[in-house]
Amino acid sequence: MSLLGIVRAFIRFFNYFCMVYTLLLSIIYLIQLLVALKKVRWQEKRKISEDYMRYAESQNLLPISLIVPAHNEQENIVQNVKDLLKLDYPEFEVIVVNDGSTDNTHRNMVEAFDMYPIESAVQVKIPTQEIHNIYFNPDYPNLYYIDKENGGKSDALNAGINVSRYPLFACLDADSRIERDALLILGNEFLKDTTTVVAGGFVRIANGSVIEDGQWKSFEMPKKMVERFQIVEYFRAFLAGRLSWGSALLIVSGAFGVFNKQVTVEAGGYKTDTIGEDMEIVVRIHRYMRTHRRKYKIKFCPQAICWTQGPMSMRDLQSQRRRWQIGLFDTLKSHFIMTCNPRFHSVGMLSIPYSWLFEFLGTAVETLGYFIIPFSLLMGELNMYFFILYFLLAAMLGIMISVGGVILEQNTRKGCMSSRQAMKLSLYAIMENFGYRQAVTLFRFGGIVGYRKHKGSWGKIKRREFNTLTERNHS
Amino acid sequence: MAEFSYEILAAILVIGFIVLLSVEYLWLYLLSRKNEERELLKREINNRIHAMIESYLYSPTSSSRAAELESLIQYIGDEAVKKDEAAAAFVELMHRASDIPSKKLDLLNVLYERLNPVLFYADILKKGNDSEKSYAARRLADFSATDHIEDIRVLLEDKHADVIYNAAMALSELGDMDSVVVFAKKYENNRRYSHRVLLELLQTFRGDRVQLIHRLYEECDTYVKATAVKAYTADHLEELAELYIDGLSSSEVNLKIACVKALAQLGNPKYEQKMEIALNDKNWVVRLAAVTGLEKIGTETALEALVRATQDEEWWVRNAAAKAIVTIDFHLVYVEKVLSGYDKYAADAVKNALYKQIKMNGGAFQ
Repeated sequence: MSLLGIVRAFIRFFNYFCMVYTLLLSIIYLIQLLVALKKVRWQEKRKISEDYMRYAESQNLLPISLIVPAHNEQENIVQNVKDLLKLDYPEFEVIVVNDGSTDNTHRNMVEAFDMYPIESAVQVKIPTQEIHNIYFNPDYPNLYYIDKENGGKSDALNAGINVSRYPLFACLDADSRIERDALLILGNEFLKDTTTVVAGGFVRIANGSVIEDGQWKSFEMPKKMVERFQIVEYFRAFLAGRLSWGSALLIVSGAFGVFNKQVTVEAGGYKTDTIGEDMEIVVRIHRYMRTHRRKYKIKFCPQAICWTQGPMSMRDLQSQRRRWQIGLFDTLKSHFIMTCNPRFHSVGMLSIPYSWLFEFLGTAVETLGYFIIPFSLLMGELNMYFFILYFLLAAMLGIMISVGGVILEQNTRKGCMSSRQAMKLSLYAIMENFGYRQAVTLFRFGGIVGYRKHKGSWGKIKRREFNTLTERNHS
Repeated sequence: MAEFSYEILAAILVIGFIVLLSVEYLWLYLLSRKNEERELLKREINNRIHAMIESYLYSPTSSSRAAELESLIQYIGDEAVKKDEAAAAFVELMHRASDIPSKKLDLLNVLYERLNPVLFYADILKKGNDSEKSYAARRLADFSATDHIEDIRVLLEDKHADVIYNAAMALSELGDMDSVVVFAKKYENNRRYSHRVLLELLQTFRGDRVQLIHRLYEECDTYVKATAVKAYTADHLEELAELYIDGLSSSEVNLKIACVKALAQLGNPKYEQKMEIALNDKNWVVRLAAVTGLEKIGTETALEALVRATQDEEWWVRNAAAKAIVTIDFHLVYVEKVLSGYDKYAADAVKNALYKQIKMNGGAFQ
């Protein structure tokens, strides 16, 4: 066979592979959506009798250390800490870890809370970069501020774990806000089921929403298209994508998750040479617990809400998605031994192979498809009708899944949109299939290509302060 | 032929998807409308019921009060949402009963009789689904509906853990000792819940706590016993002192620790000797609890025992003892005794405690 023949044969094979692959992926997403819908409805029904608010004053909830790693977070850090201190939870401490910020994060924290360095013994359960000082002010008895050498987000989290006093810890992003009852909901998961080792909350895009004192007040469509697309995307990814996996869930968002400290320390803490620490720690816990044959559960609670600011420009979105893809690859590579390994049950046999096949390789297949399919059309290797059919099928399935994400959100009682806004947003569920989705795929592919170059950076994106009602009224 | 079939297939697919998508959009529209309306209605009902109760309570004359009450009852009618909202508003008011003048409390009693929330929730308890039954059980407990204990007890046999949990919590609130013991015994074999749930259950109990703990002591394993002791430590129940003293000789460390802590909380000098014995226990947590007890007792002899405890091999015990001495030794006699003693570690612990206290008091020793 000539070289051209080989190329033609490859293109033909790739075309069919690509089509089967896309359809298979869409069907998996659709199944995920249906499973998630069933779960959301069940959880909402169960919520009638959920008594977590009765524990708001009780001393019987497990105390939680809230660890907030901060690197150049001068815009949001003070307000975020103030909101955290108002959370509905009987016993908690807030530990802000300044990971060698070069902006005014340190000054803002020390001045806003009038803190001074204290002498405190730190039990180093996980090695970290040097801690310069621990700051405290008796007027804020449950607030600690750690100033440390730069070592990355994982290192900052590990330092926070070392300083923390309580059996549970929550990792929070400095640029996110958690709702006042969110901690109660997650804390209850550890109380009602002793096998729970990790519980994650639902991360929602805050762009367009007004959040005051840890409570959502109102929503208006954000101005930029990129922000609107992300809202739809988060409904799909966080509700459908995470709810459906049950205890085989591989990722709990770095923006909001509560962990059993003992188990996390035993598993070795956060891996410092990765930027996908949120996924890595969960996979590591799976691996540790399965290896030691211990019973455990990882839970996702859509009622516990965390608001985060989505990137406001394509450039920032690119940086974020690249980082996520690198994190995914890094984690899958580090725990390759778990792939298709029956010892790790559903995690080894389902979640990890799925992540390899569809989350990691999917990016490459989709990107190659963008180039090879049009090329093969030009070369006459692809039947035009067949191509159109395939394209329609893929687009329609994509739209159905995205609209399904919005439906899913409306099924949660904390749906934060009017019917008009929900309908408007669902239009973006259609539009995202024509441009946005492809751009995101290319950004993620960039993560694979630039793996070596970008591995290990915090990947800072531009933030602004959270909206308040007063600001909105003025504007 | 092939191209023709592609066209037909494409057309069928496109039409099919358009239909599906339309259904999806219709679903989204109806759902979001329903949510929006429900939210608005809920807010309206909530505001209106609160306003109407307020008007009823603060009406100037009895006739206007009667009219307000009538319009409230008429507004609520037979609607479950309104009845539930009114009941919730009523419970909210009762929670701040201490701030309400007695005259208004009488009016609230009249309102309670007219609303009859117990009948409403008892009906849900019979006819509702699992979650509704659980909710109704808790609400009945909020209204101290002891007449419905039997109905709630049935839920303890339910197959759903949530229903059993809520039923047990409700029964505990209603002071039903038998059911609390049944749940605790079930808990022995199934530790699905954290022991903190059992603590909450016991602390919710509104019946005779002394009798309950005696029954748990008779019928349950040491783990439940230890949890029960912990649950009532803050109550300072002197009647349980004998039981705690019994626990000090238990081979189960958790029970021993709980009993030492409970006895320590009583702070009674007559248990000083027991504390001193516990100070020699091989488990350092027991010793630490004994230090707390001796600190509470605070007698001369207790101080002497605390001085000995500053020489403990465990850092936590040493430091707790040092802190206790610094806190209760006003004349600094024992502080000096430790500082001038031969044990460097004990002296260090006291220095550290002194340093911390001076720092906490802004440079002054108090």
